[in-house]
Amino acid sequence: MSRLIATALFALLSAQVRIEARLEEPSKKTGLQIEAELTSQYLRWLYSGTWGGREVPLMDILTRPEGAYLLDHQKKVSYLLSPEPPQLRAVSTPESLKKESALGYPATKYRLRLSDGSELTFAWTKAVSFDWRPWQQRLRDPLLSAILGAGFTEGLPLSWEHRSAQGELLSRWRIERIDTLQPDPFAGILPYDAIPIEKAVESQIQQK
Amino acid sequence: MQVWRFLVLGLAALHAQGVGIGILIPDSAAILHLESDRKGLLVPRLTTTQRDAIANPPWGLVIFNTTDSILQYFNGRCWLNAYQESCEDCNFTLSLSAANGTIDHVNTDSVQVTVTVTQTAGPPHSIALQVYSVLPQYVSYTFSPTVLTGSGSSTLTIRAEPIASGGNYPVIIQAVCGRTIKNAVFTLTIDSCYYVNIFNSTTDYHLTNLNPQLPTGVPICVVVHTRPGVEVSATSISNPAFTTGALHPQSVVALIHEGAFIGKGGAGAAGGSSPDFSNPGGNGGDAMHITCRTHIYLRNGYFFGGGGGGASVGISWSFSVRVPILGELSFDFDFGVGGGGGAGNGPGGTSTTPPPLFFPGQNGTGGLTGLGGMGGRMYTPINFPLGPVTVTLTPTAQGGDGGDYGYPGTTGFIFACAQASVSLPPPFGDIIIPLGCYPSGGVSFQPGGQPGYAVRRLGGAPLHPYPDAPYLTNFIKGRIGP
Repeated sequence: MSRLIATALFALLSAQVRIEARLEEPSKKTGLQIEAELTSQYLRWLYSGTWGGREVPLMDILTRPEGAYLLDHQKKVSYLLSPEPPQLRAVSTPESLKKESALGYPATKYRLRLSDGSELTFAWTKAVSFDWRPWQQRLRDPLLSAILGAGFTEGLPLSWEHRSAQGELLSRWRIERIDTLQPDPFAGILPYDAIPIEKAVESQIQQK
Repeated sequence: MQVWRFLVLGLAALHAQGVGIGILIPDSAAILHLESDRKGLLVPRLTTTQRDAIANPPWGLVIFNTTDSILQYFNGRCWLNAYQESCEDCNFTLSLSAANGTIDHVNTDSVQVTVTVTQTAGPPHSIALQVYSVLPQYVSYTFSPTVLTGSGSSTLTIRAEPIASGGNYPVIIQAVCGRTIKNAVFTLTIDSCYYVNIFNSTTDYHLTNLNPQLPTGVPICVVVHTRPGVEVSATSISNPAFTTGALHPQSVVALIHEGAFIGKGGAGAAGGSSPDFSNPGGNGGDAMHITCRTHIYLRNGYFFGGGGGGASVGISWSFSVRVPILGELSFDFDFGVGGGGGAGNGPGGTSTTPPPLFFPGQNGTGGLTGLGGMGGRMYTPINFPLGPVTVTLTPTAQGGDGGDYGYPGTTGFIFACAQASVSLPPPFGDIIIPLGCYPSGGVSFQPGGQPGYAVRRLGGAPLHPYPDAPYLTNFIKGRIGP
């Protein structure tokens, strides 16, 4: 009973949350540790780990209402990111599978069929009342977009598994920690001047 | 007493109805009526000289002219042949400089004879000359000039093509002046040629090798007849489909062509060496070689020079991309495509040492409907992934196409567009960053091969009736020339 009260209280207070999550994409040899601050003013993402089989440096991405920026603290530049619209979409209504609990939060497990024949199962909790709607147009990840597009705009995806039509595991997401976030009035401010990342890409082709 | 009675009676008859000989009652309109079924009237036979010696011949005097062998009469002003009406009517003599001649095709394809007319009566008239007899096929004549005025000479040239049938032919030469016609006969002899038939399709036809009965040490005349549906093709660009071979250079060949001579298609170029991997396309092979004077009688026959091969192209690049924070990628990229083979079964370009990524050209096809092969094509995007960054090169590479019959192969072209894509983790998607297309300044590549000759005149051998030129007709595709 006390747990339920605590959860309800947290839900009311946690319009701003900090999460730690892990993303695995075996076919892409990707295993990333993600720390994210989710607020109504900004989203901030810190990535570290292996990406495409390669150890990547810490990446710091700030999402603001007008766009997403990759922060280059070394060069003190913000690179504006303009991801392509997602190609995947849900082709079925969410199928409720079962109730479960993770990290102490009650959640419901759903299944979605996607337009490429793949299947996404995810656990959604409304115990953390984060509102994704202001950010929906900024988020171009196909899986998260499919979930939000299916009407899950309030709460958190505690986990998901994305499998191909042949059953191969494509992607696995799991939130490992959820904390309340102390408001920082400066955290959402873009720290450096921004340029489109396309202009910062250097390429050279040389005939041998 | 009896004698006197006859004389009186005879004179009376003469006075009444003329004299009859061989008839008792002469025609009343005749003063002298001769009748016989065994004898004729013999008028005085005089030469022209004797005739002209008659002093003051009376009007109507009749003689038989033994010089001209004709009955003549004096009209009061001049002597006329029996069929003539006035002194102005034309009369002439006709003579030839030779009574016969021979065309052997090798040393000569014509004979000439001088035709002389001498007008003997009347003012100068136009005297037209012609050959009265029907000459055999492929034999023709010309008079130079065709009309004489009064007396003069004309040269009659009789020409026989090599495919004219051999034999002796009387040629009646006729001169016409008014109602006077004179004839003279000239005997034309046409020598026969050797005759070679090609009934079946084959390859690399060498006239003297395949026909040992043809002498090669002396000039001869040969008629070669390729029959309908026969295809003679070359197996190599070194050989023509058909050659007159080792005939004596002064020989004459007449080709009655109802078949097809098809040169070998040029080879599509193989991949060359770095940096551009480009080689020129191979030249097409020739359809026909001639080594002596040759006459072509094209009867739905074909001369197709092999199409030129297409050129190969390729490129060798060193590529690097740096996306801030996300990663840096560099790689080498070598690729190329072969040229297409020319029409006439030209092989498509492959290579023993091609760049790592190589697409061969297609073979050209053969036969009358053969086409040049398409050069190698490469459009497939190629990904170079490294970490979150994937550089995608989309090459557009086309090897030169093989030429159709009579056409050169083409050169190829190549370029590639690159883009970097970054797969951002959730909640972000993919970022596509165009990196441009290369090469921007262009790369010069080798040309395609030239088509083979339709007919190649070796040693300056003359060809009739087609002048030297490039041809792209339905029946001749390729150059005719030395």
